[in-house]
Amino acid sequence: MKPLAFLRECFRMALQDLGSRPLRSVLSVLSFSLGIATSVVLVALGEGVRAGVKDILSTLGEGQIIVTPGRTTGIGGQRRAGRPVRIRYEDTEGLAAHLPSFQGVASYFDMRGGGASSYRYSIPWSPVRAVDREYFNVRQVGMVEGRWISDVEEEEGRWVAVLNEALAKVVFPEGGAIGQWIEWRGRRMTVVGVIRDEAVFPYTLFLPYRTVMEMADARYITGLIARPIPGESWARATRELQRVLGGLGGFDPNDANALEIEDNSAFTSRVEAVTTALHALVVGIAGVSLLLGGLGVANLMVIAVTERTREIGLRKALGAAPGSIFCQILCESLTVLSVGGLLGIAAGWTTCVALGSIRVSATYTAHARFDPASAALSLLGLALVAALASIIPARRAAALPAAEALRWE
Amino acid sequence: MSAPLNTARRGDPESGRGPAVSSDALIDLRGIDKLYAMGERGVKALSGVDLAIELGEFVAIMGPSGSGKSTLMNVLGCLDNPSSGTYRLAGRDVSRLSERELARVRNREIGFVFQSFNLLARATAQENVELPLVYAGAGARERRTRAQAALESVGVLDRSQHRPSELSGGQRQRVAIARALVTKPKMLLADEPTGNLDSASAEEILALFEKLHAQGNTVLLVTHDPEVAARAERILHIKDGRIVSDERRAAPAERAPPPSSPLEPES
Repeated sequence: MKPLAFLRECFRMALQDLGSRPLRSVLSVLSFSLGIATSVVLVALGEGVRAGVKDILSTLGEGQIIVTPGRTTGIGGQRRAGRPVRIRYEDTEGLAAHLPSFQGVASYFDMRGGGASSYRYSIPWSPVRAVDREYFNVRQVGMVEGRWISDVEEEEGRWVAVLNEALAKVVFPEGGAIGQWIEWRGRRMTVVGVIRDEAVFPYTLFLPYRTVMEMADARYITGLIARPIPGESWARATRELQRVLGGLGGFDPNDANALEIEDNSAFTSRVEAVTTALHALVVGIAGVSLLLGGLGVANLMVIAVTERTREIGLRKALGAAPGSIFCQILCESLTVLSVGGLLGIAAGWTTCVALGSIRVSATYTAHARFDPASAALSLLGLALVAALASIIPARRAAALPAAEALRWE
Repeated sequence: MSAPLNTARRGDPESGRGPAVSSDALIDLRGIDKLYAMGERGVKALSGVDLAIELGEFVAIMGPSGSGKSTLMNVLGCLDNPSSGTYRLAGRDVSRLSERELARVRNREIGFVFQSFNLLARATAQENVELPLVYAGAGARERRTRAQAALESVGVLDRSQHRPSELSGGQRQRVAIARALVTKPKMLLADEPTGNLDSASAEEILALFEKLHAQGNTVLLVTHDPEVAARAERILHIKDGRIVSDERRAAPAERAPPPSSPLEPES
C-alpha cells in the first residue's frame, strides 16, 4: 500500500471509530483542551505577575543606591567629630566623571510644607523635591504624560514643574494637567509632565534645582541617587561613592555614620527570588495540568484498545499487519490530541484577552500576557504528552496476539 | 495473484510453484507441535500433527473442547506459529514467518468465518466486506466493485448498505462469508459457522458452503456438531492434540457414523 493512501485510510478509520463514540470523544477532547487552556492561562498570568513585580521594583528604586548625609562619628573634642555632613550642590555637578562604576548620579533637595493649588483645586501639603535633569534617567520611573524637565529649564531655573501622579489626580481631577499652572508658596509654575515615582511621598512636586535655589537655601543637598553600571559589584561601587563623597564633604570615607546608604539590592533580590519561585510554581502547575490532560487521553485510548481487543483480533485475521493497527490507534489519539490542543490554545488565548489586565491596586495592574514563547512551550509539552499518550496504547494494540484477541470476550 | 474464486479443483498453477515440495497439497502439515507455557510445565496443545489437504477439498475438523481443535485452527489460519514442525501453505513454508508476513498470508490466502460473525457493528455490510481489501491495499473503486461481487455471490447484495444490527443472523453470516471470499483466498476457514444460528439459517449457511465447495473453493469447517461435520467430504477427529481419525466420504448428504475405526493420518 502506498504510504499516503495508507495514512489516509488510517485516518478515515480513526475518524469513523471516534465518530462512533461521540460522547467519549467529545469529553476527552474537552478534558485535554481544558488542561492546555489552564496551562496557557497560568503561564500567561505568571509572566504578567513577574513583569508587574519588576515594574514595581524599578519604581521603588531597584538598581539604585540612595545616599543621605549623616553625622560623623568621633571621640569628643576631636576636630570635625559629631558634625553633620554637608555636601554642596555645586560640588555634585560633574560628579559622574569621578564615579566610573556608575551609570548616573543625581542629587536632590527636599523641601517640606506648603500647599499646592491649581486654578480650582488645592492640596494643603505638598512637598517639593528639587531635582536636576539626571534625576529622571537615574530613577528610571514611568512617565505618565508630558515630558521631563529640559536642560535649558534646569540651567535657567525656569518656573516649570513635574507632578507626581497622585498629586496630578488631586489638583487636576479632570485630567489635562500639561500646560496648566500650579501654584506653590505663591509662585506659579507651568506643568510640563506627570511621572509615577513610588519611592517618594505621593503628592510630591518636582521642580528644577535652580528654580528652588531662588526660593530657599538649597546649597546643601538632601540626598543623592546613584545607579551602578549593571553587573558592577555593589560593594565596590558603594566604597567608591563613599571615597568620592568623603572628599567632598571632608569626612573619613570609612566612617559608617557619615553617610546613610540605602541599598535595596538585598530586598529586590529577595523579592525577585520569591517571584521566580512563584513563577516556577505556576509553570509547574501548568505542566502538571498538561500532563493530566495527556494521561486522560492515554487512559481513554488504553480503555478503547482493551474493549476493542476482539475487533483488533478480527482486523489482524483479515490481514492487518501490526504496523497498520499501530498507525490506526496512533491516528485516533493524535486526532483527539490535536483537536483538543488547538481548542485549548484558542480557549487559553481568549481567556487571556478577556482577563486582559487585572487591577490589583491603585497603581498596579497585572497583565495576563499571552506570549507566543510560552504558547510554543505549551505546544512542545503537548507534543511530548501526545506522543506518550498515543504510543503506549498503540503499541499495546499492535502487540496483541491475533489468536487470543479473537477469543477475547 | 491469489486463486480465482471459481477456479478448477485441480491443477492450480501456484500449488506447484515455490521451493521443492514432496507434496503438491494446498496444506501440508508435518510434525506440528504447539506448546503453551502454563505454570511450571508447558501444555502440549498439539503433538506431532501430520496433515495434508488438497485444493478444493471440503474438510470438517471435529473434536471436543480442549482437544487442540482451536489450536489447530489457529495454526492452519496462520494466526499462530507452531512450536515445531513445518506448515506449507500452497507450497510456501509459513511456519516461521514474522507477524507482518503472517498478516499478509492471512489477507491473501485465507478467508475466515467466525461463530459470532465478527462484523464491525458501526460499518455497513459493504464496508465490512471491503475491510480485507483495505489491508490488501486496493483502491476505493476496486474495493467497491469487488465487495459488491462478493455480496452478490452469497445473495445479500440488496443488504449492502445495512448495518449488522439491521440484518438477521443468517444474513450476517452471509456478509461475513462474503468478506472471507472477497480477497479470493485459497481456503475458507470457518470456526463453528452455524453455532449462533437457528436451524433454518444454519441449513442455509451449510448449503452455501456446499455451493462454494462445488464452485471449487477449499473449505475447512471446525465444529463439534456431527450433523454439521457430516456435510463435509472428509472428517478429521482430533483428541489430545492428535488427529485420531481421518474419514473420506463419497457423498456429503449422508449422516456421519461415529468415529469407530480411526485411520492413520494421511501424510
